[in-house]
Amino acid sequence: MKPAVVYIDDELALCRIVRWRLEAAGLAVETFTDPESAIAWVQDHDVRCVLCDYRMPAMNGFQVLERLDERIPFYLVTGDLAVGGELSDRTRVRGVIQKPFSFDELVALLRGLD
Amino acid sequence: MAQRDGPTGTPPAHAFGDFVRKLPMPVAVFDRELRYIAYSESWLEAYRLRHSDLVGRHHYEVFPEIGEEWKRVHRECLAGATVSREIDLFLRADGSTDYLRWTITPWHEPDGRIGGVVMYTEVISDLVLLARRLEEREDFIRMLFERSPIGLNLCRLDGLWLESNPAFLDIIGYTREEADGGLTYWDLTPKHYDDEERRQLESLERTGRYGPYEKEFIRKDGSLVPVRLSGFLVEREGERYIWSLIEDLTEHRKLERTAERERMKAIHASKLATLGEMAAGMAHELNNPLTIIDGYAGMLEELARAGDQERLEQAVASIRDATRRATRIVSGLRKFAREDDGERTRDVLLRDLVEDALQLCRTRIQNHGVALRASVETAVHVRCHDVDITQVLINLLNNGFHAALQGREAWVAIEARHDGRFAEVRVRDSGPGIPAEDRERIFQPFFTTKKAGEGTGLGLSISRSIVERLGGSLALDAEAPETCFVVRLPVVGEDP
Repeated sequence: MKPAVVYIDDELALCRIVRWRLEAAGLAVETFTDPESAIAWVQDHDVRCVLCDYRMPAMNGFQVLERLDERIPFYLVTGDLAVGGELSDRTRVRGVIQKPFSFDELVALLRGLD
Repeated sequence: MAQRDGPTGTPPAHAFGDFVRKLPMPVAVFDRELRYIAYSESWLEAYRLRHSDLVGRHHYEVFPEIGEEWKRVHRECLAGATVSREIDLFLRADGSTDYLRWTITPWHEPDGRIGGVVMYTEVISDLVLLARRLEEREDFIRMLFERSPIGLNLCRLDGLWLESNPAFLDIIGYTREEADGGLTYWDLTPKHYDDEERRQLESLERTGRYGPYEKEFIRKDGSLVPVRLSGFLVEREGERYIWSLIEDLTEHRKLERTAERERMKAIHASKLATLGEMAAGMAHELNNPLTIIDGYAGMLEELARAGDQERLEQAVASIRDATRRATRIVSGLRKFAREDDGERTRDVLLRDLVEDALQLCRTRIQNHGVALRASVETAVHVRCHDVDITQVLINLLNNGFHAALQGREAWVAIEARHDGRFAEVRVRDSGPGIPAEDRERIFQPFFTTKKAGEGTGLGLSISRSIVERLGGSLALDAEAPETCFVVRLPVVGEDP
C-alpha cells in the first residue's frame, strides 16, 4: 500500500473534498476531524505527510505536531491572515498552506514529496 | 333763611390766632403787606424756623431766599387770584431743599376788600424721595427685564401678548411694535402642539404653574425656533395673566446634534475596531467554504465528462452549501459594519441579538480552544437598534475570550434571562478576573489591559453609553465568583 497523506481538519465538509480530490489524483489519503484519532492512526501506518489545520477546538496544529514522529513531513494548513513564515521558522513545520488553497497546487506539492 | 340756634358764642378775636396756631399743617395768614398775622406751630417746624414770634414781621424778611417767581405769585394772589402747585422745589438759604405742595389764596375784609393772603403748604420731601426711589427701583427692575438673556413675556389668558423683553423679541424675530400690536401666543404656535398646549394650560389651572416644556415658535420669517418654556399665573388688579420664561434652544440643539454625531462616530469607530479584531477569525471562517467551493468546482468538468450524475449533483450541492455559508458570514459582517444611518430603535427578540453576536465570534472563540456555552431561553423583546446591542455583546464576548485565554480553564458563557421588567444578559469567563482597583476604570474611555493593537479601550465605555441610552445598564457583577458582566435592558414584550 502506498504511504498515505493524512489530512486533519475539524470541518467534515473540507475533509470530504480533500479526500475526493486527492484520491482522484491517485494519492492515498486519510482524513480526520478529530486530532486524537489522527495521532493514533499515524503511529500504526505508513505516512507520506501530515497536513493539519492550525485552529481546531480541541487542539491546535502545533499541539498535534508535538505528538508526531519528527521524521514525518508536517504541513500546517491555516485560514488565518497573520500566520505566515514565522511559524515555519520556529518549528519544524515543513510549510504553511494558506486557505483557500488550490487543489492543483496541493496535488503538485504532494507528488513532489516522493 | 330762618333763624336757628346759633353756636354758643362767637370766638373772641384772640381765639383766631390760637386756632391758626393749632392747625396740624404749615399755614400762615398775611396782611396786604405780606406781614404775618397768624401762623401754625407746624409752619415753624416744617420750615425749621427758630423765631418764636413772627407776627408783624415781613414774609421776605423771614425767608430771604424767596425768589422772584414766588414774589410774582404773591402779587397775583394779593390781586385776587388763588394759585396752587402740586410739587414745587424750595431752595433754602442754608443749602437744603424742600419739596412743597401749596395753595395761596386771598382773604377778604368784611367790606369785600382783599385783606391779605393765606398760605396753605405741605412739605412733601419724604413723599417725593419715596416716589423717586420707587421710580429708580422700577427702572432697575425694568433694566433687569430688558437685559435678561432669557426671554420674558407677560400675556393674557387668551394668549395676547402684553409685555415682551428684547431677548424674547429676538427669539421670535418680531419688533416690539409688532409684538405689542395684537400678536398672540397662538399666532406663533404650530398646530401640532395643540395637545401639549392643552396639557400645559391644565397644569396652569390646576397648580398655577406650567412647564418646563419644549416646543417651537414660528418666527416672523416663518422658520421654527426650538424653545423651552415655563411660567406661572400672576394676578394684578383682579385680572389674571401668564408670566413666561422662554429659553432659546437653538444652540443647545446644535450642541446636542454635534454630540449625537460624535457619539455615532465613536460607536462606528469602535465597531470597526471590533471588526478589525475579529478579521482574522472571519477570514478563517470564509476560507473553509472557499476551499470547499474551489475543490468541488475543479471536479465539475471531469464529472460531467464522465457522466457521473450522482457525484455531479453531490458536488453542486456541496458548492451551494459552502456558498450559503460564506454568504451568511459576509452578510453578518455587512449588517454589523454598516454605518448607522440614525435608524430608529425597534423591538427585537433578545435571543436573536445573542445569536447574531455568537454567529460573529463563535468560531474564533472555539478555534482557540476556548469553550463557548450559551443558554438563551427567554423569548422577550427589547427595544433597541439591534446592531448596537450585537456590538455590545460581541465586545463582552471578545473581552471574555481574551481573559479566558489567560486562565487555566478556558471558557466563556453567555446567558440570557428576564425578570419581567428587565432582560438580562450575563457574559462570564474563566479568566483571572478584574482587579478591584480597575473595576470602575474599565468603563472609562481608553482604559485597556490589552496589548497595543489588540483593543482600542473604547469597548466598555461605548457599550455602557449604548445600553444606558436605551434605559438599561451595563455593570460588572462584583458578587459573581467569576468575571461577569451584566447587560440589563427594559423588556417591551414577550413571545407567547
